[in-house]
This record gives sequence, C-alpha cells and structure tokens, in this order.
Amino acid sequence: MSKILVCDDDREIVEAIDIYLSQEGYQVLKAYDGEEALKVLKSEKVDLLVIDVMMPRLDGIRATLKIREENNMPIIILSAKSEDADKILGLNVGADDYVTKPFNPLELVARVKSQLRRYTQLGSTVDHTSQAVYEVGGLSINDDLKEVTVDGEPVKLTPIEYNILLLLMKNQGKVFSIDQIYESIWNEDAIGVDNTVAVHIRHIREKIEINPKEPRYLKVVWGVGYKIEKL
Amino acid sequence: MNHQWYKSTLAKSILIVLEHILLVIVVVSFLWMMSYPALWREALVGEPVKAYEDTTSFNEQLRSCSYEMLNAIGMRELFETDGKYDPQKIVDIQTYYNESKIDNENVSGLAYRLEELVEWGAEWHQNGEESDADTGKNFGDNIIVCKRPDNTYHYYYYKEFQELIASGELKFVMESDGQGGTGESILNDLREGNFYEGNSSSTEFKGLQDAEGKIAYIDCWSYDGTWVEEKYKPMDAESVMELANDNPEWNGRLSEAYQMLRDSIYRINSEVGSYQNLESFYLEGDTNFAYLYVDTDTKRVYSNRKEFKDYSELEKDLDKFRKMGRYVVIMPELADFETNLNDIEVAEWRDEVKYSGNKETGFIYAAGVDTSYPIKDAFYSESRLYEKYGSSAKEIVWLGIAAGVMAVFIIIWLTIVAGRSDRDDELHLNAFDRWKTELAAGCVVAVWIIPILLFGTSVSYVSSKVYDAYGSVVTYSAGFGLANQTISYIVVGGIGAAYTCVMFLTGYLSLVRRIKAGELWKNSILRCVCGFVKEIFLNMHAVWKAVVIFGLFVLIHWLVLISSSAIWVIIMLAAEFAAFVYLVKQAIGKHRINMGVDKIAKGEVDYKIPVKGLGDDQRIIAEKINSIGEGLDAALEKSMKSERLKTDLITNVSHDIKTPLTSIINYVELLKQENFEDPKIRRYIEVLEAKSQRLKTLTEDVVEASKVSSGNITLEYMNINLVEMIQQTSGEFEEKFTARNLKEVMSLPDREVIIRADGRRLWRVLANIYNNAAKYAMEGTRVYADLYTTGTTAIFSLKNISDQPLNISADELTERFIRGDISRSTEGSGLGLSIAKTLTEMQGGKFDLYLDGDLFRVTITFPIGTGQN
Repeated sequence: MSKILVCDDDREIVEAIDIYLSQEGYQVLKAYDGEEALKVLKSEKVDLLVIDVMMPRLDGIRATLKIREENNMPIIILSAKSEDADKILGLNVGADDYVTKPFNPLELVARVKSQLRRYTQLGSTVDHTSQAVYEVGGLSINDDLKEVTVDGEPVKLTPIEYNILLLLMKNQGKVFSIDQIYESIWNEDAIGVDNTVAVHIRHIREKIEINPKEPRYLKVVWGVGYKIEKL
Repeated sequence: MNHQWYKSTLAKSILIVLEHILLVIVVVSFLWMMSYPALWREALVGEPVKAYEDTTSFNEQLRSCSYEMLNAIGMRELFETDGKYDPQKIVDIQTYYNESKIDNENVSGLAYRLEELVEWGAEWHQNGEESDADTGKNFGDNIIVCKRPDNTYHYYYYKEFQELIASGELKFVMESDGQGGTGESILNDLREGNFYEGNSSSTEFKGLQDAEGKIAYIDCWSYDGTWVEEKYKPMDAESVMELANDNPEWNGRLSEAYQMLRDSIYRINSEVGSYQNLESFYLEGDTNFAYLYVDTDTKRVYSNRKEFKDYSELEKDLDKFRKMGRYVVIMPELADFETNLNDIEVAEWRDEVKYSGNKETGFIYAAGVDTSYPIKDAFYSESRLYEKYGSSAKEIVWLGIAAGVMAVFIIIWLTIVAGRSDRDDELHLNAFDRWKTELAAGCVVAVWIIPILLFGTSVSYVSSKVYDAYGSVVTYSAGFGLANQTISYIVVGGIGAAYTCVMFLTGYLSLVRRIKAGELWKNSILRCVCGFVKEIFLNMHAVWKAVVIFGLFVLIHWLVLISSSAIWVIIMLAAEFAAFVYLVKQAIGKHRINMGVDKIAKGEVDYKIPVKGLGDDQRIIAEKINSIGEGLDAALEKSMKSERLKTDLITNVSHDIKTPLTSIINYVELLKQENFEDPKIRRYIEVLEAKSQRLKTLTEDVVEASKVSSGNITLEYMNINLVEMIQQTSGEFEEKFTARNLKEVMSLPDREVIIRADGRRLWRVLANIYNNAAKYAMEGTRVYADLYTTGTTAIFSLKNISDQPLNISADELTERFIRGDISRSTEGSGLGLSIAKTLTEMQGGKFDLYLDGDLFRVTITFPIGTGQN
C-alpha cells in the first residue's frame, strides 16, 4: 500500500486526484501549500509526491528543491505552466515527471503507477541472465522471450511493431529514417514508401507510452526519423 | 562729470576741434617747409645759421652756378675764336666726333663750317631728319658698292651705274656655265637691294669689265649702311660719296662718314644751344655771381666781368674775389683750395672744376657772390626769404612734428571712445552710422573729392610753380613774387587739410563705430546682395541650381580660353578645386545616406546618419531619414512592447483559466465513472466533456498564436528531409483520416528534399494543415498530398474537398479567430491556419491558401537547403 502526497492549493483538484488514486488502492495524503507538504513529509513516510508549482507561501519548485535535499522518492510536478522552459526547470530541480494542467486524470494515474513501479522495482529486476534484454527507463524488451514490458507490465505488439521496436532498442539514441527502418524490417528497397512505417510507429507509441502525443521513449525527430531516447 | 569724463560728448567735441587745428598746423608747416628748401635743410641741422650765405642751400646754389659756368666755358672753347662766337669756324667731323674738339682746320677731309652744321641741325630739329640710319633703303637713289681688284671701293648711285652698263662702259662678266642671270636681272636685283657683300660674286657673275675689257671691279652689291641727305657740301668736295670714292682716307668708309656726320650735327646743335643760353645768363650787371677761369698754359681768361679779363692782374683779381662775401678759389692741387663757405666737400668742388672745365691741370678757378646783394637776383631773393623766416624754421618744424604726434594721439583717443558715452556702457550709433556701409563710404569720398577736384585744378598751377622753385635750375628765375604765391598755396593747403580732416573724421569714426557694433558687414549692401543671391539659390529648384553652377563653371573656362590672362587661370583653378571639393563632398554625403538608408532598411532603425559636414541639401535629406528612422524605431518599440504585453497577458490569463479547467475536466471524468443509466444525463456529460476539451485546446492555441505573432519564440534550424517529414505527419494522422473515411493520396519524390527549418515548428505547421483537412474535409473524399521541387524551391500542397461551403476569402481564413462560419460549432480554436502561416513565414517559407468552390488547397513553399548543418 503506497502512500502518495498530493499538494495543490486548489482543494477540488486535490479532492479529484484523491478519488482517482484511492480507486487504484493508494493511500492519499493531502497538503495545500509547500510548507504543509514539507510538514507532512517530516511526519509520514511518503512513496510519491504530486505537487503543483504555483502555490502560496512555498511554491512547488522550491519545495521540490528542499525535499530533494533529504528524500529521493518520485516527484511528479503538476502545473498550468506548459512552456518548455517551465518543464525543463521542473525536471532540473529534481522532479521525475511533469504533467501540465489541464490533465487527463487517467494519464496522471498511469504516470503515478509507472513512477512507483520503477521506484519500488529498482534493483530487483537487475537479474538479467540473458543478453537479449534491452532496457531504457521502464521499457524493457527481451528478445529471447519476444516479450516487451513497460514498468513491468507486459505489452502486446505485432511482429512488425516488435521488430521495429527491437531495431530501435538495439540502437538506443540512434535516429532511423523511415527508409532505413523499412529496408531493415521488410528487406526491400524503400522506393515509393508511403506512411506505413509512420503508422506502425504511432501504434507502437500508443502501446508503450502513457501519453503518445508526448512520448517518453519512442521519439519523433521531425523530418529526420525516429529513435529510442537514451535515458 | 563722473570718472568717465573722457567719454563725454564735450570731451569728444573738444578733441575733434583740436584734431582739426592740429592737422591744419601739420599740413601748413609741412607745406611751408617744402616751399623753402633752404629753410627745412637748415632746420634739420642743429642751430640754424643767421644768414642765407651760411646755409647749405647757398652752397648748393653757388655750386650749381659754377657747374653751369664751367660747362659754358668748355663750350666757349669749342665755338669761339679769340673770345668770340665764330660761325665760320671749320669743324673737322672726325676730330669732333672722336675728341670733341673744333680746331678750325680740315684734317681728315670731311669738314664743314660751324654755321652750316648749326643750320643743318636746326632744320632737322624743325622738319625732321631725312636720312636713313640702318635700313640701307635710301630715300634717294640706291647706292651700288663696287670693289676693285686692289680692295678699294667705288660707290655709284644706281642711275649712274645703270647708265654705265647701258653705254657699255661697264659690263658684267658672267659665270661661264651660264647658270647666272642676265645683266638685266642682276641690275634688277641690285636696284631692289637683294645683293649683299660677298653673296653675288660666286653665283651670278665674276665681276665687271670696262670698255677696253679690263677687269674694273671684282664684285658689286647694294649699299646697306647709313645714309644722310646732304644739304651742305663738305669743304673741298662735292659730296660725302665723292670723298669716299676719291679720298684715300675715307675710301670704303661711306657708312662711317655718314654716321659721324649725323651724330655731329645733333651734338653741335644741342651744344651750341646751351652755349648760347648760358652766355646770356650771368651777364655782368645781371647777377651777384662772379667767376674767373684762367687757363694758365694759354693764359686765357674767362669771366663774366670785364674787370677780371686781364691775365696780368690775376693776383689782384683773386684778391678781389677773396674780399667778396662768399668765394671759392680752386686750383688743381687741393692744397691751393681757398674758401669761406661753410661745410663744403672741397674735393668734390675741385673735381667738378677739373672734369667739367677745359683742362684737368693748369687752371685757376674762382667764384664769388657779393653778399651785399646789390643786384636783385635769385641769390638776393633766397637771402631775403631766409632773413624773413629762417629764424623760425626750426620752431615750425617742431611745431609740425608735435602737432602730428598730438593728432595721432587724439585719433587713438577718439578711436577708443568712439560710440561710447559717459552715461552708460552701451554703444551708440548715430543716424549716419545706420546708413549702408558702402553708401556711407561713397558719400564721404564723394563729398570730399568733388571740391578737391574742382579747386585742385586751379590750385595746381600755383603749386607747380612753387614746386619748380624747389628744383635747382628754375629757382633763380622763379624766385620773384614767390612769397605771395606760397602764402596763397599754404592757405589753400590749410583749408584743404581742415576739410579733409572733417571728412576723414566723419568717415573714420563712423567706420570705428560700425566695427565696434559689428555692423560693418551686417549693414552692408554687399551682404544684402549676397544674402539675396543665397536666398534665390536656396529656393531654386535643384535642377536649376545645377544648371546655374555648371553654366558658371563653363563660363569661367571659356573666359580663360578667350582671355588667357593669368587672373582667369587662377579663377579657373579655384573653380576647379571648388568643383572637386564639392563633388567629393557630395559623394561622401551620398555614400553616408546610402549606408544609412541601407542600415535602416535592414532593421537597424536606431541608426543615425552623421549629418556633420554635409551640404545643405544632403543634410536636410539625412535629417529627414534620421527622423524616419526614429519614428520607425519608436513605432517598432511600441508595437513590440504591446505585443509582448499581450503575450504576457494571454499567458497569465491562460494559466488562470487552466486551473478551474482542470477541475472541470477531472469532475466530468468522475461523472462519467458513475455509469448513469439515464441517456439524457449521459448526453449532458458528453457535451461537458467535449466543451471542456475544446476550452483546453483553445487556451493552448491562444497562447501559442500570441507567442508566434509577437515573435516570442526561438527557432532551432536543422536540415530536414521534407519527404520523411510528410510521411511522419501522414502516419500521425492516419487514424484521424480513417475515422472520417478520408483517403490520403500521397505523391512524393523518390529522393530526399532537404530544407532548413525548425523540425518541431514545421511539424506544428504540417499538423495544423492535416488537422484542418481531417476536421473539415467531406467524409469519404480523398485528400491529396503532393510534394515536388522546382529548381531552388520545394513545394508541398494539401488539397481536400470542404464539407461545408466556404463563403470567405483565403486571406480571411488565416486571420486569427476566423473560420468558415459553419465550422464554428466543431472543435478547434480557428487559430490553426493562422499559426501555421506565421510559423511558415518565420522559417523563411511561403504559405498560400487557394479556394475554388469546395476545393481547398494549402501550399507551403520552402527554399531547398544548401545542405549545411
């Protein structure tokens, strides 16, 4: 039973999040500003923190900085600020994930789950005896078992999707163009290729990403190709 | 009267009056001194002497009398026989010409009576000379010179010569080869004077033979020497030519003889003239001056007094001289010099006698003046004058000098106080000072000069006489009545001086006041004219200005060409230099303005063109451009600021909207989980969900649109393969298209199409376009995506058939918040195309919409990249 601290000055939002997380079986603690969150953290052992940025007294960014001095539990920032600069700032001060308002509650729940799994399973899943296992973040592909897991959850992929993901996972960080992917998967010259590969990629993203529009693992390099982000 | 009394009107008036008086004194004393040379000479040397005979002027007067007398004595020797003028005296021309002597005998053969030569000269003097000095073209007959084999010559007149040839007494001996001309042609040439000594013998003929066939002459030619028309025959001969033919002394010297004759005639004429003049001066009883010149060798005595003419009483006579008021006795030895004159250079006096008189040794000369002045001659009048004024001469000189110094001092004083007053420190100009400078100057000069010219002519007669008295010769004759004339002259001079002083002070002080007030130039007609010309020029059309300047330039050059005088050349060079400077300045100005306009055009709107050193026209242009730049700068600043403010506002507002929106979305989601059975409730929840989602998109798009339009984003350029990009985009939208039963028809080139762009922004552009198609295309139709390249550009177009009729123009579609009317009810902010367009243009591309009925086409064009990273 994980304890999750939700901190936002908007009580209704905290309430809603409480409902969703409780449905998933998490124990939810509530705080309405940064100071309060720090107080709760002192008295209780918390497994994950969801924190807003714009709050009275102590804002989310400063609170995160203070918390990171002692704690290493996952922190998800929840903010109306959606600029790139805001996200970068949040992640840099020690947050593990950044969700912009207005958010889809189910997505938030998914992200919380993902963070918790990674946090709790860290160190326990290192017993890979086989070499045919490729991992990045919570994404893992075991070529021996032909099995793909995201945060420990198995994901079902079609053979072409699997091969594309395997190609990209084997060469993490490297950008593959549509033509390259096509040629290595279909073993044909890529002449007059249409959007087939792009469609497959999108399907893979929908299966392995929490928010396919803002992918964590399989990233689109626009006008160049696709890659698995090296984390 | 306060401490500034020296500025007061009273002081000034007194000074001006004083100045007049002083100037009159200066002028009068100066004129007075000038009128009596004896006086001012004495005035300058120490204590003035009492009597005239002690002055230097007396010495000079005596000396000049002596000098003239000595000259006369020399001439008496020439022209007199036994103490009397002898017109029958024989003048040997050669002797007279060479030694200036007339010995009364014919030595050389060429001689005339004195009388004849004097007559001859007088005639020439009256009627002009009829001779030919140099040209050889004689007035009378041409002269032919013939050379005998023994190198003697014979002169013929041409006619004479021609007759001899005609009668056969002389015959040309022709060149044997017959090359030379005929006898006639030779005669012609001789007449025309074409033959010169030596040039004919070799070419034309060998010589001349006489009737018997003997060679008479070996050569002949035209005479080209001096010639004189002979009014008188020489003694013992018919003509000078006959002399030159027959007299061995003169043979072949015709030209020389004529030359000597000619010179002698002139000389004798002038010498006899002065001899006769001098003889008539200083006659006994006409002068107080007495002289005695004794030739101790010949024992001849010259004197203007009968009592001294006896040589035997020489010593007695000299004693008489010694008893005269003033005297000199001069003998060849300086030791024998005797005088009672003051301060004379004895050697000079002696030398004068020695070289002007007849001989350099063996003479005794005595001169004296009876200082009791029994006869009223020039000595007497000078002496009277000196007696009258001599004692005051020094005082007058000093008075003049002192007055001059005072006058200068007063002028300085007046200069300093001119225009000032003792009442205040202001500068006061009177009515006259306000006249135009040139007008005032002209008035003063005119008023001054007119009376001076009018009276000047009548005065000048008087003055010329006075000034003649100052000269040496006429002094004595003009001496009578001098005093009266002088006084009238001095009076006129004084009046003139006073008048001049009035005019001078008027003009000068006005000038000083003008300068002090800085009005000299400011109030001048010239300045008005200059100003007027400048005004015309400034208001002239630029074209006319250029025409006028060029016209002047050309005119100057034409004038140089025509006149070729140095001053115009200098003006031309100056004009050329000015033109050079002008052109260079214009070029610099043009360059500066060009650069400035360029910079402003390129966006550096705060750039200022330096206006210093620019010409009038260009400065005005530059200033205008600068102010345009300023205006642009200000406008740009303002619009940037307001855009930024807008963006900030929108961003902040969107944050504030998002928080409640979050709650709405969350609670709608919770409602959905409640699994209401009632279809009505489920429908309400659906509407809530859709609208809340739309609100979400709207807030996001508004923020982005405002950021994009205010340029508040940074672009990260990279090489992008447009083919890949379109495939990727197409893949992303595959599902959406399928959902609306749209079929995408892609036509892409086989090779890469690389452009420079920001991948994420370009994705946004393409996503917006595709999104647009996915939302508004008619269900079941095809969407065409075409990419092709033309040379340097890549063109992508997306065509679809609109579901709803489009009643607006393509431009309106990209305006923010504008969409096809009907589509308002569907999702989307209406900002998509606007954002796409702005983003495309930011990345250097072109974004076009094309509507034709229901056909909707978006075209974006990008330059193909150069492949750099």
